[in-house]
Amino acid sequence: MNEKRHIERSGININLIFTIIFLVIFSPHCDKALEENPRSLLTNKVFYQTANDALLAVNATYDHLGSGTSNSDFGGVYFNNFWAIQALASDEGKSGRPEPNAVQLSEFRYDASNLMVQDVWEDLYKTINLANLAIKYIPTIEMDDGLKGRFLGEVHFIRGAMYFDLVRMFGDVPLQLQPTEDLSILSVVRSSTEEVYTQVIEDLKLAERNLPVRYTGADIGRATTGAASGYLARVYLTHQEWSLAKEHAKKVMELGVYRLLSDYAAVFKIANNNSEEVVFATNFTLNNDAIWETSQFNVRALPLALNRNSNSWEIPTLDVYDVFDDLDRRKEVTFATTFTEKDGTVLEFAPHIFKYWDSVAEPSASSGGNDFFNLRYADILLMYAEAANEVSGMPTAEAYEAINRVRRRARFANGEERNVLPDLIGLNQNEFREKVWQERRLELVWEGHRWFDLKRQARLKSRVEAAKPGITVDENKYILFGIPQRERDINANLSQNPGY
Amino acid sequence: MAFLYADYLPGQDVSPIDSTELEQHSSDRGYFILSGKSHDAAAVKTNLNFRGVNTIDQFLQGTVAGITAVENSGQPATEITLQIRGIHTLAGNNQPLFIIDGIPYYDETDFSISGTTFGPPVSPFTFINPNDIESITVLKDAGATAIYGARATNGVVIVRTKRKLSADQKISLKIKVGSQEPIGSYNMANATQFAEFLNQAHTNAGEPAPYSNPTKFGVGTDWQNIIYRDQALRQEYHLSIAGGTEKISFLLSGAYLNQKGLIIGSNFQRANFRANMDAQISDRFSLQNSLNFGRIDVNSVASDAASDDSGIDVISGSRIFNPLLPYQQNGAVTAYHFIADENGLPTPVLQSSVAQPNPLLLAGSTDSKLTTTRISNYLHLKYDLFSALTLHGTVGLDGIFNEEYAFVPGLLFFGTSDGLGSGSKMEALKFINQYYLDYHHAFSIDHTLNLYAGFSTEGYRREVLSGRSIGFDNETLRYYSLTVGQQKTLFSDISDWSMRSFFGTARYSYQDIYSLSVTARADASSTFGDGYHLFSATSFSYNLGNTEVLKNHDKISSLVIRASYGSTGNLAVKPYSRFTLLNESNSALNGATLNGIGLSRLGNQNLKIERTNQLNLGAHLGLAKEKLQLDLDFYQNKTSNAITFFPLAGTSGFDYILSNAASISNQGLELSTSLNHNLGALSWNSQLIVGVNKNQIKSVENDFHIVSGDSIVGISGWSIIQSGHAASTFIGYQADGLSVGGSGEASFAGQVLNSGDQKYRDLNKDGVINSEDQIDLGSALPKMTLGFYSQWCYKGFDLTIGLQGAFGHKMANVNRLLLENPTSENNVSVEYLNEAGKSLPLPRLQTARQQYFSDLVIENGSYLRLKNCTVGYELPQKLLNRFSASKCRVYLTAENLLTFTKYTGLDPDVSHFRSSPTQQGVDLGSYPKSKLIQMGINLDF
Repeated sequence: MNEKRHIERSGININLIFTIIFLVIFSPHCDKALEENPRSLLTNKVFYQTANDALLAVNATYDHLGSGTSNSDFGGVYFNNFWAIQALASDEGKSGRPEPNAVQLSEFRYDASNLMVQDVWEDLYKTINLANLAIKYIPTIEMDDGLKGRFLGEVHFIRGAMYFDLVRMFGDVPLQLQPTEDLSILSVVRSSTEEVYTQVIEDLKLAERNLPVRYTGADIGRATTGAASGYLARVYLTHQEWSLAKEHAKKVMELGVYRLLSDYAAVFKIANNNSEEVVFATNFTLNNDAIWETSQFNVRALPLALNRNSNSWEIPTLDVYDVFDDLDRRKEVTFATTFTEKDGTVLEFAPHIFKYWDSVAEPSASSGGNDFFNLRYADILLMYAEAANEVSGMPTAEAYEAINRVRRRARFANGEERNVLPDLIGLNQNEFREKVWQERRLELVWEGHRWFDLKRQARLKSRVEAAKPGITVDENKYILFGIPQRERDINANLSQNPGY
Repeated sequence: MAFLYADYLPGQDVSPIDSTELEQHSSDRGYFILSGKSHDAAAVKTNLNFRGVNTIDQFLQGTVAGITAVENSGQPATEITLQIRGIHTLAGNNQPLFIIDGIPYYDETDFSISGTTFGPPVSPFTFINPNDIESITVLKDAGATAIYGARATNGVVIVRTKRKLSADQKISLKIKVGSQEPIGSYNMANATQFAEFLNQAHTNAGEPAPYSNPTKFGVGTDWQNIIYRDQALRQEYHLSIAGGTEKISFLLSGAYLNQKGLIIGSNFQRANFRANMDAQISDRFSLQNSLNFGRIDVNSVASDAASDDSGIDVISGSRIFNPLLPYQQNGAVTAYHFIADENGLPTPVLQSSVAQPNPLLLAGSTDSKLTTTRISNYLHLKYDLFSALTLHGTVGLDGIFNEEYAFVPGLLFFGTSDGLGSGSKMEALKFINQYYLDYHHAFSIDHTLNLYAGFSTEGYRREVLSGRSIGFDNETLRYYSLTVGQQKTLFSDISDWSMRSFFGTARYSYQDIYSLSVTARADASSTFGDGYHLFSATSFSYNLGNTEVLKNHDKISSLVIRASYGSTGNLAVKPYSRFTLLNESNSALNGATLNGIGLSRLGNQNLKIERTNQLNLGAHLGLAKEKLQLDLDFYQNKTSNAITFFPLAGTSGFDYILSNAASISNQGLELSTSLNHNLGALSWNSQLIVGVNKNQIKSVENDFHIVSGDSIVGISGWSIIQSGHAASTFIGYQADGLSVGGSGEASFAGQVLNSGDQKYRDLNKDGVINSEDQIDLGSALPKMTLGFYSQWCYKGFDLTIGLQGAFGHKMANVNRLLLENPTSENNVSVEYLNEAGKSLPLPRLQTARQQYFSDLVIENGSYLRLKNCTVGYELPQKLLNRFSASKCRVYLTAENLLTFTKYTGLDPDVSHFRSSPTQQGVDLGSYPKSKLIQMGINLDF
C-alpha cells in the first residue's frame, strides 16, 4: 500500500519534472522571429549605402519629373497636369471635355479645391522630398568625389527647379529642406517668396558649379551646367534682374554645345529628343516595354476624331491659332485641322496641338515618345534678347541677332525659305519687347510657359479676356494659384492667398 | 441553446448534436471554450444544414444574432464579408478569427494574387468541406474571446469537424444535384426601343435621326441572356466512412463538387479529403489527428468590374452593349467600339468614355484559371499528469499551393493587337505549436476551480513568383508560353509573420450558481514588433435556475444572468505595415529605361495593435423544459485606437500614413429565441434571431474628415470617415431634377448646364456646386440583421424554411451610372427611358458625360430573403432493410428563391469592395447570384 503510493507519488514527480523541462524547452523565448525582416521589400534601412544607391536615388528624382512610375499618385510633375494648367489658365488653351477642374481653369473660375492644381503641388513636393533625401544621404556615402558632386548638383538642380515652379505658382510656400522621415516636421509654415527665391538661386548655383557641360552615352539628358545657368537666367528674368538674366543666358550661349535645329519640325521628332537644341528636358520614350515611360501629350491633346487613343482633353484657343502667319513653319507644325490616313481617308477637326506627335515614328499615337522641353535653346535666345533690350534701354545688335535667329529658322520648311517673318530691325525698346513677347508665344506654344510669361508680363487679364470672349479674370485673385484646400485642411498653419 | 440542423432532423431517432455534446467537446478542447450549456457567455452555436452552400462561412448568414454577412458576389466560391458586432477597424481586417479543430485558420484572404485572374477573390474557406462540419460556435463578447487576445476583437468562430458518425452509422453517402438560374436581370431597352431612343436624342440635339425604321430591328440581341449557360449544373458527392476499435477510431471523408457558373467561362470544382483519427495510446496518453486536403479549380470571368474601375466587365457589358448589334458579322465577332448603322451593321466609332467590349467575347475568349491546393494536418496530444491536471500539446502545419493563369486575346484591346498573358505561383506555409495545462478540481460539492494556462508559437511564410507578358504575335500558346509575348514583367515577394503568445484562464464556480472567470492573454506579433501586449477579461454569471427557488419550478427551466468586461485586440494590418518603403522607378532617359529607387510609403513605427474594450450584459431564459429559449444580450464595444489611412499634407511628399487615429464604438442588442415543440407525430422547431447594432466613429485625430472611396466608374471620394458618423458613410450631392437650360441654375464651377442635364442642390446657396454641397447620404452598415428558421416534421416528411435579412442601411447602386448614361454606343434601362420620357426634354446624348456621386444612386438596402426552402422525406425502415441501409432521406432544396426589397438593383446582398470597412454597400457589375434548386439523397449503411 505504502509502496504503491510511493510509486504513484514519484510518478507524479517524474511527470511534473518532465513537464517543466518540456515546457521550458518549448516556451517562447525572446527570438528573432518577432523581428520583421522584409526581405522582398526595400526599406530605408538598407538603402543609401553605395555609389549605386546614390545613383538610383538621383534617378528617382528624375522619374518624378516625368513618368512618375514610383509615385503613389502616378505620373510626375511634367507628365500631364503641369503643362495642361499652363495652357488652360492662359490664352493658349481651353478644355475639350466637361471635366470641372479643367473647365474651371480654362474659364478662370477655379478655387483652392482644384484637383489639377493640387496634383501639381503634391508632385512638386514629392520630388522635393526625394531630392532632400538624396541631399541628406549622398554626402554620407563613400564614393568618388567627382561623381558625388555631380549627383548633388543634379538633385540640387531639380530641387531648385521645383521650388521655382512652386514660388511662381503659389507665392509664399513651405520651404522643406529635410526629407520627411517621421511625423515631426509636418506642421510647416509658409516661407516668404524672397526666402524661397534665395533657396532656388542657391540650389541652382550649386548645380551650375557641380554639373558638367555635357554627358555621353546613357547619361545624356541629365541636368547640365547649361541647364542650371539657363534656369538662373529664367529666375532673374522673372525678377527683372535684367543684367543677371542676360549674363546667364549669355553663359549658355557661349558654352558652344547648343544650337537651333535647322527646321522647327525637327525639334519635335522623337529621334531628336535631347538634340543640341535642348538645354533641359523631361525625358519620355517610345519604349513599349513599359508604357508609363511615355508622355501624355498624344492621349490628352490629339483629337478624339483621330480615332486613336486620343481624347481632345485640352485644345488650343482660336486666338493662338489665328495669331500665326499661315506661312510660319511653326503653324503647320504646331497645329493641324485635318489628318490623312494611310488609306486616303481625310479626318477633319477643329485646330488641335500636333507638334508633340511624331506620326511617322509612332503612327498609332498610343504612347508618347516626345520629351517635355523644360528649356530649349530658342528660349535662351529669346530670354537673352529680352534681357539685353532692358539692360541697354534699346535693342542691341546681339539682341536683334538672338531673336532673328529664332525667326529665321521659322522661315524654313524642309530647307526652303518662305517669304515670312523678316529679320527685325530698327525698333525702339517697347516695340522690341513686344516683338520678343510675341515670338515667345509663337515659338513656345504649349511648352508650359504661357501662364508664367503672361503673369511676368502683367497681362494675364487682358490677354485671356481677349482670347476667351465672355470670360472675366479677377486679377487680384488669379495672380497666384490658391494653396490647395486639402493642404490647409490638414495643416492649419498655412495661410491662403488673396481671393481664395 | 440553439438547435442544430444535422443531416437528420430532430425528433427522429438520431438526435442532433445538442449543447450537451458541445460541453463534452469543451472538455477535450483545443482551447478553452465556455460551453453553450452554461449560458455564461455570448457564445452561440449555429445551425448547420443541408443547404447548397460551398463554404462554411455561408452558414453564418442569418443564423447568429449580431453577425452581418454579405455574399460579395455570385461568382462561385467567392469570399464572404463577415462582421460580428460591427466594424472595429477602418484600414484593416474586420473578419472574425476562425478556429478550426483548435487551430487558428489563418485569415489570409489574399492568397489569390491580384491582377492575375479575374473576378473577386475565392473564399479562404473553400478548402473545408461543409459536410465535414460537426458544429460551429460563435464567440462574441470579451469574456469568451479574450483568450484569443490580439485577434479577438472581431469575434471568434470555433469550427469542429466530425470525428465519428452517429451510433449505428458506418458509411454515409450524400449526393446533391441541381441547376441554377440567375436571380434576375435588368430590364434593358430592346433594339427597337434603343433605336427609337437614339432617334429622339439625335433629334433633340438638332441632328438627323439615324434610323428610319426602328421597328425593323425587333428585339435585337439580348446580351444579358446570351452570356448565360443554357444549363448551369451543380453536383456534389460526399462519402464518409467511420470505424475503429475501442481504442482507435477514425473518420475518412471524400467529396467532389462541380458547379458550373451561370456565365459562360466560369466554373468551380473542388475535391476534398479528410482523415480524422482518435487514439487512446495508454491510460494517460491519447491523441487526435486531423488531416484535411482540399483542392479547387476555378475558372472565372471578369465580373464585379474587376478588370479596373471603369466598369468594364462581362456583367455590366451584357447590360449596356448595343442591342442593335449581332454577335457575329460575316464570321467576325463584334468586338469593341461599334455603333449600328442604318441596317444594324457594326460601324466603328470614336472612342467613348465608357467603352465596353462584346460581353460574350469577353466571357468566352478570355481565360482565367486558378488552381489551389491546401493541405493541413493538426496533431493534438493529451497526457493526464494526474486526475486533475492534463497536459495538452498541438502541432499544426498548413500549406497552400496556388497557381493562376490568365490570358486576354489581343482582339479585346482597343487600338492594338496585343494579347496579355500572366501566370503566378504562390506557396504559403503556416505552423503552430501550442501547449497548455488544464487543471480541474472540485474542492467540495460547492466549490469548483478550473485553471488553464499555456503558450503558443505561430509562424507564417508566403512566397510569390509571377510573370506577365504583353504583345503576343501568335496567340495559340497563350499563357502556356509567356516567352512568346514581347513585353515581360516579373514580380516576386516573400513575406513572413510570427506570433508568440501566453494565455490562461481561471474559473471558479460556487454551487453551479455563481461563477467567475478571469482570462488573460499576452501576444507579441512581428507585425508590430513592440513586444507583448496583454488582453484580459472578467466574466460573471449567476445561474438562478440552479437556486433553490427555481430548481424545481414548473415553468422556468433555466435562468442565467451574465456579465463580462474586458479588452481584446485586432492585428488589423498586414506584415511590414510599419516600414517606410522604397520602390523602383522605371522612367526614361535618352530613349532608354532609367532605373531608380524612389519612395512609396512613409512608415509608422508607432503603429499599435488596436484595442477594444467590450462590455456585455446578457440573460438566458428557458421555459417549459427548454422548449422555449430566450437569449438577450446588450453590448458596448469601444475601440480606442483604430487604424486608418490618415491624410498627410502634400508638403511631406506623401499622401497618407497608416495611423491609430480614430476611435469607434459599436453598441447593440441581440435577441435569440428558439421554440421546440412536439404535437404527437408533428414536431416543430423554429429560431428567430435579431441583431441591432449602432456603429459610430467617435473621434478622428485633429477632427479630420477623411474622404475616401476608390474610383468607381471614374468617381472617387464618395465615402467619409468623420466623427459622429458610422463607418462606410456615403457622401455626395442631392439631385435636383433636370435642367431646363439657360442661366440662373447652380452648377459646378466651369460646368455649362444644358437643357436635360442633371442638376444638383446648392445647399449653401453660393451659386456653385462644390464639395460643400455634399451631404451624408447614409451608411451601408445595416442597423438590424434578422434570421428566421423553421422546420416542421410529420412522420417521415419534413419542411424547412430559412429567412434572412438586413435592414436600415443604404446601398449605392452604381450600376445606374452605367445604365442611365446614354451614349451612341451604350444601351439604357427601360426604367430610364420611361423616366426620361416623362420629363421632357429627353436628356441629351453625350459622348463624355461627367457623372457625380449623388443620392440618385443611393437606395434603401433593406431586404428579407427566403434563403432556403427544403422538403424531405425519410424512407421507412422496412423498405431500407431490403437494401441493408440504415437510413435514407431524399429531399428537394432551393436557395435564394424570393427576395423582398425596394432595392432596384438585382441583389442588395453584394459588396463590390468586398470587406473594405469604409467602402461597404457598393453594387457594380456583381456576378448575379443563382436560384439554385437541388435534389439530394443521404444514404447511410
